[in-house]
Amino acid sequence: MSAADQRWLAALSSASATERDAAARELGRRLRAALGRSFSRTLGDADLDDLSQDALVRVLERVHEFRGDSRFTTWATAIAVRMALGELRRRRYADRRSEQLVHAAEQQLDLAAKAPGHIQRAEAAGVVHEMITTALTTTQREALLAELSGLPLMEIARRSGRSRGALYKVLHDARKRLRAALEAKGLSAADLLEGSA
Amino acid sequence: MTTPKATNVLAQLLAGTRIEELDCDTFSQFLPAWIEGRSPADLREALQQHLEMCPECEEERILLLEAVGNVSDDGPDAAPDS
Repeated sequence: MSAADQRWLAALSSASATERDAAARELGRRLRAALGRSFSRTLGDADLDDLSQDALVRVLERVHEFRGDSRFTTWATAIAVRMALGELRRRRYADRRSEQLVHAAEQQLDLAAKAPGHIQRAEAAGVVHEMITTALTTTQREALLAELSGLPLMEIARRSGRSRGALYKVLHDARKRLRAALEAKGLSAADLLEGSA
Repeated sequence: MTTPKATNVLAQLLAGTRIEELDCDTFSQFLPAWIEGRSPADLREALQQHLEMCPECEEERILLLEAVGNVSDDGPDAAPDS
């Protein structure tokens, strides 16, 4: 852990409220500047002000988790970026209902399985469509179709009340099962692509 | 007839699937160290593979790089660069 990192941690946990508050204000200012560099094209000043303050609160709650693997300010900025990105994605997809998107993705897979003239692709699509419909768990099926519909994982996780990590594991398990099902039939993921025979 | 997009997305996901993969939460823990070139050597391949499989984490990486920029850090009591 660098000397600068140690000074941050000491100041933010100082017994002196004056020192503690000054360090928090400085950190908040830097988080605001950092978010401005990344999100000024997509978020307005008022939003960035609010998000940087929310991020500061989150960082101060989690300061004990900092391990010194990176600079403290990089670690804190990563928390702020993730929060801002989550808000941006929530807004982008706020008016897109999960059920409609999932249904659209399922229809696309069904169509691919019935596409005339592309025997191997139709067979591969049929295998995965059947697996998704009958062999995956409900959780796996809903998560995978939501992902295929274009919903960001962060948004799927938020709507389902899961962490991104838990959601990623659900999807990873589903992908492994689908891939194994294709390989058991002598097929591959490439057979699903446009242009395959 | 065009190939449904969902099928292409699924094909790419399945093609890149490995038996063991890092999840997003684990990746996020190492992202700050990753962008500073200080991530553990034995995890770098897994971290890179996760980026290839997860466009959202890749977007987060790019945004974090922009956010951090070239600002130096000498602690809370030093004169700020910006």
